[in-house]
Amino acid sequence: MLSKSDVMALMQESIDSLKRSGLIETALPVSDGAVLLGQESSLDSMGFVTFITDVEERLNRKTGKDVYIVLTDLQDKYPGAAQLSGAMFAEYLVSLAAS
Amino acid sequence: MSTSNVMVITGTSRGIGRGMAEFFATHGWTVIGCSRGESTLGDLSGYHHSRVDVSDEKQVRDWARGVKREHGRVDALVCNVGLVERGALTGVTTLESFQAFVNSILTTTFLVCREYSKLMGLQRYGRIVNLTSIMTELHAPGTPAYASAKAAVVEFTKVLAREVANQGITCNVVSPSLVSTEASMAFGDQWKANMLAMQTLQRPIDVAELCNIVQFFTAPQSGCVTGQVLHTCLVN
Repeated sequence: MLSKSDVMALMQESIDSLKRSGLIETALPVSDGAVLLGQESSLDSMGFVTFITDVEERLNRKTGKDVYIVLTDLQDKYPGAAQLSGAMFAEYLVSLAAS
Repeated sequence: MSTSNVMVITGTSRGIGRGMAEFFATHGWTVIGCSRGESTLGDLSGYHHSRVDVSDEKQVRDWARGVKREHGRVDALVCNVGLVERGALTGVTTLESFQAFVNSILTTTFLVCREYSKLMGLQRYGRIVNLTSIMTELHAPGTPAYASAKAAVVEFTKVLAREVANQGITCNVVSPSLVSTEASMAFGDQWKANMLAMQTLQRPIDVAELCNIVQFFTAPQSGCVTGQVLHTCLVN
């Protein structure tokens, strides 16, 4: 079972790897308050798509399960939220990995 | 992991998809084909078959992930989907029939392109070729569902081409005229004559002629060509 800190570390590994390979342009320290999607996010739309695709692959490798990130599930989990923060995404991923 | 370039082709049980799978497997590609049923290509070297219903979101996701896991990467995707069924005039086209065309042509293209373009994005390289039809240009009576769904694929391809342009991925459209396949010939001589009468070059083409175009679009050297539509046998 993955903890929130495990998932936060996985997200940071993903961001760092994508930055190193030039798939995203700016470095992003992953924290509870880091904005991943929405205004003030340093990830552009395609950067976010690339990020969640990479996170999915990492989660699959780590858990051995086929998990899929579904944006509408995020919207259902956080209705009305204008931004997706690191903490919100981590909580979602923990529940996804546990399901 | 595959050592040769990997090409995914949908709808390889018959017709254009089957011919393309044969062509590219014998031209040095590792070809991953799919259809709802078993492979019709026997033990063709370089060909791998998956049973997938490409209108099923979960099946497409699982398939794409499995291909990535097994072969390591996907260099090219040829999305060849369709519904081999006669159309009808708008006034007598049922909602079920219209939706069946949209689902089997547009929705499947969207699902397959979505999954594989994401994988290509991570590898910063990819060639996507979607197959449509010159019927998108002819506005022929009796094709309200088929031609509209194929035209929507053209638009979808252009939108995707812009979205992934900075990831080394190109997306183009091959728009065939009448192709000599069992399915198209089964519609009969009158239908075939009507089709040819609408074309500029009034002859059926072979799948090999389409493969030549796909080969161009999927070449690494074609990285500057994206969002384009290439019709055969038609001046439009």
